[in-house]
Amino acid sequence: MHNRPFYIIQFIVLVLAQVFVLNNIPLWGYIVPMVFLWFILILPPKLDRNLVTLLGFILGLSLDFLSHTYGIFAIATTLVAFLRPFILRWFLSPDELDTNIVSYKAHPTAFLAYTGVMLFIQIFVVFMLEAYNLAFILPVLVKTLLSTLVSGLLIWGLDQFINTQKR
Amino acid sequence: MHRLFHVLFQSAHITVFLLLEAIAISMFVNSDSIQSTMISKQGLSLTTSVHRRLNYLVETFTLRTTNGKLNEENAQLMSDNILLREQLNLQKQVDLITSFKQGGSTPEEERVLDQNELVQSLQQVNANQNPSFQGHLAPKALEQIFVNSSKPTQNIMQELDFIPAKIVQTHLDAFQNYIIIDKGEVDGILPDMGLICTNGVVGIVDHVSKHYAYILPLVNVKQPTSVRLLKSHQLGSLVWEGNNIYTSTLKEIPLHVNPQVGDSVVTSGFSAIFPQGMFVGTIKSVNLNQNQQFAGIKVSLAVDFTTITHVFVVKYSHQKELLEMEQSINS
Repeated sequence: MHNRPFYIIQFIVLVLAQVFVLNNIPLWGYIVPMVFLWFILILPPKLDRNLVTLLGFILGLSLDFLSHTYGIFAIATTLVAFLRPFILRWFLSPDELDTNIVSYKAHPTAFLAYTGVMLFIQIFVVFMLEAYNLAFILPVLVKTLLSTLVSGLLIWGLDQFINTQKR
Repeated sequence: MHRLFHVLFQSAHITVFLLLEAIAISMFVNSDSIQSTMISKQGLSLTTSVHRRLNYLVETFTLRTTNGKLNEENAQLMSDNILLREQLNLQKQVDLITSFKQGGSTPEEERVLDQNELVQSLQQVNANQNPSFQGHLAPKALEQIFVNSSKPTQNIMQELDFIPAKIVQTHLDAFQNYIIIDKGEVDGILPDMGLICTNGVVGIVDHVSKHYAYILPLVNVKQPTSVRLLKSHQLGSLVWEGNNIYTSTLKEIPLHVNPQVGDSVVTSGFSAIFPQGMFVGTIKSVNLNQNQQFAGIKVSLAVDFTTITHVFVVKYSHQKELLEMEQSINS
């Protein structure tokens, strides 16, 4: 488990990086790397569910206010933060959940699958709300899949990096 | 009652989730009004000044290419300028001749060339210059314009003003894309003004704060633009369908117009947003399905949104008046 300052710094850095860097790199008009979800992903699995949901809401809200999309990120991030325990239980056994840390190092395939599902839900909700029209379902799905792939790779890299630094 | 509390306590996490989600959804539902109040109350300058600093950094690295582009544009403008100046001189001479023919001669005017010679020299000028101008200024048409010299174009130019601006922030990978520029209310920018760059149309101003403006580009699902086919003058509506930022869809073009791949699409000029005939893009593909009323047309946009840095806001001198009139009609 990381210490409290780590999470606070991580929160701030991820939000700033998302708003000022990642949202502004045009990647052929298809990909928005949503790396900020890493904050929710690596919270300790035993953390109080209400706190996780609340943190998701605060994370989404800060992104909304900094990127002029009022409500969209808050809805999506609160949803994935709420669903996190269910998805975690889906991929990890109760024993594994007791370790109090989720990372690529500990359970590679489970972590990747869990990251993928979380990212997919998050990004799909964001794009669907932005398009706000079922006629756009196809481009929404394409963009969601591509963005999930790129975000997943970035998060995997970040996770690797942080864990090797700690050793 | 006791049991209700019990149930609520048991499923506290669901209650918390629903409560937070309700707040977020109410924000989303009212996002338009929140956005306009937030942006007009300095909401933009908070993050935008940071973006601006970051942009300075990026700009220093891309100065060389930007410089090259500006140089090219400069060369183009210079050649246009020479051409226009020649034509202006010719016009003066034609004016002199017509006044000479109507009577009244001075020694100065007698020295002026014969009108036929004028037309010949005009042809020469056109042949030497930019080929794109040849079509527009066929000598005969020009002669007519010059002889019946009422000056309609001059009035239009007096009403138009171009405010140069720089792009501070772009968000282009999603569905509700936006661009933020470094000119705002203080610089005379109002909502519903058009934004162009040297390649073509970029977008329309949506909100303004004191020093910044929030633009909805052509590549935003909320931003249909009224356009026209250059050849057939057929009006249509350009709608972006969220696919990629290089192509858009042209709607409401009837089958009988028979649009061709490569045809130019320009602004219609029906509202005081863009002047008539500004370049938007060229037709990329046409689908003439006889079962449907309209042709399915894809347009490749002239502007590459990922690389633009310098833009111009199109300002009509009567824009404010027009807006007030529209508001009074609507209310």
